[in-house]
Amino acid sequence: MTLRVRGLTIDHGAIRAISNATFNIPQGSITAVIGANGAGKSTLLRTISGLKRATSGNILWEELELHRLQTEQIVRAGIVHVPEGRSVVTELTVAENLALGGIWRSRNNKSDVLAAIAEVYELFPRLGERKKQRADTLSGGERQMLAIGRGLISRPQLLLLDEPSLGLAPLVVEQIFQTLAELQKSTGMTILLVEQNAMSALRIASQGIVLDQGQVVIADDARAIMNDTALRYAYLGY
Amino acid sequence: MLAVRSSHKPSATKRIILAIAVGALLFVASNLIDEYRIFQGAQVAAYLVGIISIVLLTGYSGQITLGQGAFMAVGAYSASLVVQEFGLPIWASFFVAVIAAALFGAIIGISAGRLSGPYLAGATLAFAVGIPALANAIPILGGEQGLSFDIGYAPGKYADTVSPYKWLFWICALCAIIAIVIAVNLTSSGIGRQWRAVRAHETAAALSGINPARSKVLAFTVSSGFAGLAGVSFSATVGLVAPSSFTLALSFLLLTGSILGGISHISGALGGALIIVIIPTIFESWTEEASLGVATYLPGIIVSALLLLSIALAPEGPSELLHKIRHRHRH
Amino acid sequence: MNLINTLIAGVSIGAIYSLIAFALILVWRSTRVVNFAQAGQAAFSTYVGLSVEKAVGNYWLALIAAIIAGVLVGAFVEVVIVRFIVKRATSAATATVAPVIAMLGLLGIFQGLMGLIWGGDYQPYPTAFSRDGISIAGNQIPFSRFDLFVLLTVVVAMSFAAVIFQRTSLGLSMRAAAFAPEVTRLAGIRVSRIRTLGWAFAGGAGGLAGVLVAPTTFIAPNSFDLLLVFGFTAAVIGGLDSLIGGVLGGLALGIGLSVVTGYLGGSYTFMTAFVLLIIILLVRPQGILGARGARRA
Repeated sequence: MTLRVRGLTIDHGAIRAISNATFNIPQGSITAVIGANGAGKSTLLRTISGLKRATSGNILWEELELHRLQTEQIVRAGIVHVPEGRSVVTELTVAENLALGGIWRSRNNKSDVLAAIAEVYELFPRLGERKKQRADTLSGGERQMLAIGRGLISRPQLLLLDEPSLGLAPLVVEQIFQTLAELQKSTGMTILLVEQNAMSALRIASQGIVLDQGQVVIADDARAIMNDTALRYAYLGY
Repeated sequence: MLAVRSSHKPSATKRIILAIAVGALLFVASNLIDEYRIFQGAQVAAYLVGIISIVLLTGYSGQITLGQGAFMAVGAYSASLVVQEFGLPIWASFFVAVIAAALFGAIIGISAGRLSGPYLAGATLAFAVGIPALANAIPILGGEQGLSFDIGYAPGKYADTVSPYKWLFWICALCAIIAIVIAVNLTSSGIGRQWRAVRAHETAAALSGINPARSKVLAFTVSSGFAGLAGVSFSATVGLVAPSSFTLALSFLLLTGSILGGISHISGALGGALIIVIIPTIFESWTEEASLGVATYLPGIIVSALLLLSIALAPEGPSELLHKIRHRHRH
Repeated sequence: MNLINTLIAGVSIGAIYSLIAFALILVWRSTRVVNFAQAGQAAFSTYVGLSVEKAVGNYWLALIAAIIAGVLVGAFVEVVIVRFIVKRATSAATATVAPVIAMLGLLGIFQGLMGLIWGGDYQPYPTAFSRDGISIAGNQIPFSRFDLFVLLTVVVAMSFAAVIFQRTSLGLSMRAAAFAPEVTRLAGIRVSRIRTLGWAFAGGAGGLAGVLVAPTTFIAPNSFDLLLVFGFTAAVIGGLDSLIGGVLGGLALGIGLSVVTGYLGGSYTFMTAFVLLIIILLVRPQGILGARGARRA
C-alpha cells in the first residue's frame, strides 16, 4: 500500500499552504516531513486525514481517492492521524481514550481491539499504571504516548504523526522515537512523521521530504539529507 | 432613511433637515390614507423604535438580547405611573420612559456586559419572561389588567378635526423620526465605531485604548433608552400598559424584524418593522374564508421560517443577500 | 407549613427541571447550541401523546408515543435544520448570535404548527395516578402518588442515561465527541451521527418532561416557555457541560423555589430564579456543581 500524492494544492482562505506537491510514501517506510514553522506540514497531514479539503490535486491510497472521503472513512481505510498537541480527550480516562480508538471496529473485531489495547500497555508501561486516571492528570510525555496509543488501537497501515516531540523533554523525545522505530520494524506499518526537530526525525526515517513555504523542495533518502550540509543550512537552519 | 443609505456621509444638520422633510411628507400622507392604515403606521413607528434598540445592541455592540420587551415594559410602566400617580403631562411621560428604561438598562448592562453568547441569551430570555410576571405581582402596577395609558386627543381646536388615530400616528412617527436621527448620528460617531470595534475583536479594541466593558454597558444603556421609547409608543397604540402586552412573543417579534430588515444597519429597521406589521395583515385578508386557526398561526410560521432562512442564507440581512446575488452574476 | 413539607413539595417539579436541563446540556455538549426550541419540541411531543391518549385511551401508550415523538423530532431538527445553520453561520457579525436566533425561529415554527394542528387553548393532560397528597399517619403531605411517579420515572430515565453514558461504546463516543470532536473523528467515529443521536436523546427527554409536567401546567403551544427558562437556570447551576450537574441543579432549583414559594409567596418564585441565574452567571460561571472547565461562549 503506497500513498501517492499528486499535484496537491491546499489553501487556507487566501493563503496558499501547500503548492502543487507530488511525492510517494512507500509501504513500510518511515518518512520524515521537515521544514520551518508555517511550511505547511500540519496542513498536509490534516488534508490526508480528511480534516481539511484540498483545493486541487489527488491523494491516492492504492486505488482509493482519499481526497473524496470523510475522516471516518479514511480511518477505516487504515490511515490514522495523531494530530499535534498530544491530542487526547482530557475529560476521559486513559483506558477510555484507548477504547475510543477501537469502537469503530469493536463490533467485528472485539478480541483484536482488546489485544491491541494490551499491546499498547506493553509498549508504554506507564499508561498501564494509569489506566483509571483522567488524561488531564498525565504528564506531557504520557499524553503523547496515549495519543499515539489511541491511534495504534485502530491498527493503522499508515500512521500520520504530527510533531510528537513538541514541548517534550529531550529524553522523552528520544524514548518516543525509539519506540516508533521499533514499532515500525515489528509491525511493518508505514509512518509519516511531521517534525520541526529534524535531526531526531531523520535519524529514524528512511526517507525525508523538505517543505519550504508550501513547496516540496527535496524528497530524498533520509541519510542523504542529513549529510548534505548545504541543504541543511539552507532549509533547516543549521 | 435616505440619509442612512447614501454612501457619502451627510452632516448631522443635513440629517435633521432631511428628517423634518420626511416628517412633513408623512404628515401630508397621513391625511390621504384610511384610518386603519394610519393605525398600522403608528404600529410600524413603535416597532421601528424597538428594532432600532435591538440593532444598536446586537448589530453594533454584538450583545444578543431576547428580552427587549422587558425594557419596553419598564419604560411603559414608568410612563403610565408618572401620569397616573403624579399627574405629569403625557409628553413628559415619554421622557420619563426613556430615562427610566435607560437607568434600568445600565444596571442590567453592568452585569450582562460580562456575559456572552448563549449565557447572555439565556439571561435576557429569563428577563423577558420575568418582568411581565413581576409586574403582574406588584399591586401598584394594576396586575393582569395593567394601567391605562391614553394619549387623548390633539390639543385645542384640532381635537375635532384630527382623528385619534391620526394623532396617535403623529406622535409615534415623531418619536420614530427623532429616534432614527439620534441613532444614525450615534452610530456614525466615535461611540458607534467603538461598539463595532468591541464587537469585532474585544482584545484588539482593548489594546487600542477602548474600555470594552464600559462600551458594552453604554450600549446596553442607550439601547434600553430606545426600548423605553418603543414601549411607551407601543402602549399608546394599545391604550394600556399590561403584562400581556410585553410577552416573550413581542421580544421575539422585534428580534425577527431586526434580523429580517438587516441587523447590522439602522437602515434595516424600517424594513423590519414594515415586514412584521404587513405579513399578518396580508394573511388576514387572504384567509378571511379560511379557518381562524390559519389566520392566527400561519403568519407566525411564515415569519419564523423567514427568520430561519435569513439566518441561514444572509445573516447580515437582505442587503447582504442582494450583494451576494449581484456578485454571483458578475462571475 | 413546615420545612420538610416544603422541601418535599419541590422534589417532583425539580425532577422535571432536571430532565429539561439534561436535554439542554446534551445538545449544548454535542453542538454548542442552547436549544431554545426545546420548549416547542417538548410541547409538540406532549401534544402527540395527548392525541394518542384521546385516540386509544391508554396513558402508558401515550407516554411512549410522546417520548418517541420527541426522539424523532429531535433527530429531524438536527439533521434538517441545525446542521445547515451551524455550517453556514460561521463568520459575519452575527456568528455568535445566529444559532440562538435560529433556535428561536424554530420555536416560532413549532408553536405556530401546534396552534394550527391542536389550537391555542390550554388543554388538560390526564394523569395515571392521584394528585392528592399522600397521607402518612393521618397527616397529608404535599406529595402525591403522581409526584412519586414523576420522581421515580425521572430517576429511572436518568439511571438509564447514566448506564448508557458510562458503560457503553455509544456513551463513550458521545462523551468524547462532546469534549473533543476532532480527536473523536480521528478515532474513526462518525461524529455527525453521534450529534444526531444527542439531539434525539434530548428530544426524548423533553417529550418525557412534557408529559410529566402537563397535568400541572396544562398544554398549549407556549405553555412550556417558563419550563425552558427554569431548565436553563438548572443547566447553568450545574455548569452547562455537566449532565450530573444539570440534574442536581434541577433538583436544587425545584426545592429552592418551593421553599421561596412556601415562605414568601408564589409571586417571588420567578424573581428568585432569575436573580439566582444572574448571580450564578456572574459569580460562578462554571456552575455551582461544575468543578472545572471554562465558560466557552
